[in-house]
Amino acid sequence: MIAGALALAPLLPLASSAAFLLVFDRRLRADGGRAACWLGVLACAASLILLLKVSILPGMAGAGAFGGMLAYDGPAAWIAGTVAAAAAASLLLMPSHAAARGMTCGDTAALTLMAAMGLMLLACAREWLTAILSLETASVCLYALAGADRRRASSAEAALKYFLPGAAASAVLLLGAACWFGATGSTFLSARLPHAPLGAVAAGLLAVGLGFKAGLVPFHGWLPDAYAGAPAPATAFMAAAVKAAAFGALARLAASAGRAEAALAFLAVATMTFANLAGLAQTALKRLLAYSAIAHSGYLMLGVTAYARGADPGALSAYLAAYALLTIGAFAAAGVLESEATGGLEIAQLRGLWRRRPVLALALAFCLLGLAGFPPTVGFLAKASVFTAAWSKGLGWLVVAAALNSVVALGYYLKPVRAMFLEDLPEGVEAVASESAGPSTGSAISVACAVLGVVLGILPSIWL
Amino acid sequence: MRLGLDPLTFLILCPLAAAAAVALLGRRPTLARAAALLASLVELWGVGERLAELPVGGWMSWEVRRAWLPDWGASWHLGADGLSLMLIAATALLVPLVILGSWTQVKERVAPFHACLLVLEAALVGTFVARDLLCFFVFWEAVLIPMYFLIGIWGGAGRMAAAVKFVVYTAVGSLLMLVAIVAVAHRGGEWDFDMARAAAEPMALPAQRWAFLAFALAFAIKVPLFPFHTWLPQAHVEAPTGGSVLLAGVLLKMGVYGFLRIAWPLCPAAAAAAAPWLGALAVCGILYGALMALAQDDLKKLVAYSSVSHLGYCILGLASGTPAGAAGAAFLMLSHAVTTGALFFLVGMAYERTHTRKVGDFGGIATAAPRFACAFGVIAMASVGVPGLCGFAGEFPVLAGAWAARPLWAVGAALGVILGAVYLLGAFQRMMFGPVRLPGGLSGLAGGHFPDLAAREVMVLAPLAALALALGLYPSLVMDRLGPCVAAIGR
Repeated sequence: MIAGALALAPLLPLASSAAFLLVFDRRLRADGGRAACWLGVLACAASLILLLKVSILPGMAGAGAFGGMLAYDGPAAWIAGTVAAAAAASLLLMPSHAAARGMTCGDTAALTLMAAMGLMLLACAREWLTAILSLETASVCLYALAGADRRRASSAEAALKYFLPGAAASAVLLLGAACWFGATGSTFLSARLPHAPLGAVAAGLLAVGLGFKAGLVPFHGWLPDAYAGAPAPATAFMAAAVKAAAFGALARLAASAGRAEAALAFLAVATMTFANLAGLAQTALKRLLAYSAIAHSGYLMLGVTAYARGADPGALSAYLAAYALLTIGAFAAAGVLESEATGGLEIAQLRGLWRRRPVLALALAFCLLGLAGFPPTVGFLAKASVFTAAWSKGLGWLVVAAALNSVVALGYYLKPVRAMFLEDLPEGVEAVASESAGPSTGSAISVACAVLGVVLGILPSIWL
Repeated sequence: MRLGLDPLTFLILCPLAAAAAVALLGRRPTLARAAALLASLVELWGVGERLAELPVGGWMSWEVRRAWLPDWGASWHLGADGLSLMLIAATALLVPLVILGSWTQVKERVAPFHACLLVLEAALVGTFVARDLLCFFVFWEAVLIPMYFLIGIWGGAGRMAAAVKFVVYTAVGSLLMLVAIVAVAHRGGEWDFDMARAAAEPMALPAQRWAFLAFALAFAIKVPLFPFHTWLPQAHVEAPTGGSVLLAGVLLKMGVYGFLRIAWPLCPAAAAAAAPWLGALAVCGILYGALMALAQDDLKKLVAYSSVSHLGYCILGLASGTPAGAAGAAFLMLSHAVTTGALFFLVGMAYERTHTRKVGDFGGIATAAPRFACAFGVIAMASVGVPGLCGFAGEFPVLAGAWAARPLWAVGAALGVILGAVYLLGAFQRMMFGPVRLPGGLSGLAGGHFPDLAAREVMVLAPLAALALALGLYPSLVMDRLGPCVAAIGR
């Protein structure tokens, strides 16, 4: 029982602050929800500290709590930490973005906290019902978060496009869990799946459901619209945290299902190839980042395939953390620019940004180069760690495919860089980001992510 | 002076720190130039000290190894032998000259320009001193970023397409190289990125073939070896003068250095098997580059194609598989850095005066600007391989090595030497002699004459011309320190 209380401890600050905000939201509205967001940031920090304390307790990694339903092993702790940090970053970004776009942010703070709680629970769940319930908790909050910008049709569209397929995916997941129970007589992830057809059906359905949440091709259709329409702070959270938690579950599924290597490899190659080619055609910054998110799901599948063959999960968690850092930095910058633009944020509007906002332009450029996997950023180390893990498990051809894909990806990552640094704003095009605007939390977070991305890339011994 | 750092780490960090400082001087262009020049001179001084310490034979010195990624068997492992140090010396010499040469040519965004130059210098030095494959790859890729901006921001009209082409071409090769590096590092089932150990215990032959193919593609694109050269003319023509100088002077050598340091030692059997193909491509490149140069009217393009031709000799020397050929190839890298660097400076100076680069627009410059014509003449003759100047001292061993391996290659390469004399000295003759002819706009603008070299420009060209002469008259000064480093290639 004590173990159970301890295992839930990291979730408590999130749940309690979310409940508090739901009840007292009206009192906190006076300053546009700024206080609510700060409370949320504190809750995330408390949750992170508790996570650090709890995950090193003896027995927490193996036996876990509640008869093994929750356990904090290495990857679970990494992913839960990534989720909490992403939530904190998203909450920090929220107030200024909300103020610029005329949104209230008390309720969005509560939704973000609830979603973070669900995703952290998913990261340490060892049993399908817990996993599905926690994922559903998070998803319902995320649908609402995507539509938080109520005055804009694009935000409502994002919410609807996320919700409808998302609900279908949840049904598929549930059905998969039912089949899993039928095949193994247990809902635990550690149960060995029998060779029977029912086992394959279970694994397939669960993979489809999780693949949807992770944004794998061919289940990615919702993702670009949802990412582009949702407010940038919410997108940053979705991109970093949902992906981390979904890949944690996918990796565990892949490891216990076994014999699905061909399917995993197919998903990896299809995802990265499709997303990178489609990314080349994008003209809007957030949409481009959305395709980048899908492409990274493909590289992550490489790590999942290697993990299914028995590779160390460290590569996968490192990749998730590095990707989260860089993608939050990129979306933070996109959020600053978006809140100053009138319509959608076209890459053409970024032209000459370097002259107007040199620091923000540099930060965005470094985050993009990091996502492209350029050394000396952390993105390179993440990519190299997944490549080496896959290579050591004999997946050489997948590594070659991923390397070639990275070249294609360069083509679109360089587009915003080129617009910001190389091109000048022609007459008649409306510029975003005038010089008058002062420093904001958004640029501060973007700069922090870029600096961390380079420092952690040069000195990996700090974190790897 | 070195702040407690080991010599090689200092050589990498000094320009990086200076770049950060220079970037902050955005509002003070002259101060930014001066600071960058000072930093590059400090770097040159540091390299000079190392050159003075370098033993004859050029053995590996100043090795340093610190933990970097212990779990992966990758470390911050640096060391320089004669080959590395000579290339670093070329880099450290060219950067201050580029800063001096761009003094009046770069007028916009001065501080970022110099910051980019210094970051580029740090990455180049790092590439040449890395003794760990992962370190090497990090520096190799890091070179792309400042060069992308140098071409893309300060380049000519078609700069953006050229910058993207440069990056994407190089990235195709280098990401496959990353796969090959991973394969080499995992050869024994354990991770180990150390170059020396990888060379001491090469992989089995089938794996070696694939790894060599990936390495060779990456390096061939960088060299560039025919037919992977198509990015080069565009990048050279669009880059600012300083960018072209470093691109031709140092960046292309990264490819040859990669062949010498990585592809050959790590995959010796595969390299020996591939040598005939490389040699044939090299001869094709020599002739193709020379013929293309012959057809150019744009002087900068002419010099760019001459680079394709000259780098062909470097690869031919390697492919010949003889100690003389390999040593000649290494020497030719330095000689090409000096001559082509100077040629790009001269093209830039002519363009700054007249805003044209067309050979046909000029005539009789020698009467108006004798110093310019004299410098051009010395450098052009060094470039085409007139004995007594540096080009000959490199080309001769390469031709000798090629003759020993396959006489037909030597015949083709010798034909390239003749063509070289035709295109470069032909252009020289048309521009310098004959009736005075200047581009239309100039006759009215600058008093109707071609201004001769100013003192600053003499300061840029004189060291290069002096080096061309010194290397030509006394090649063993460098050869004794280079040859032993590459002799292993021969056998």
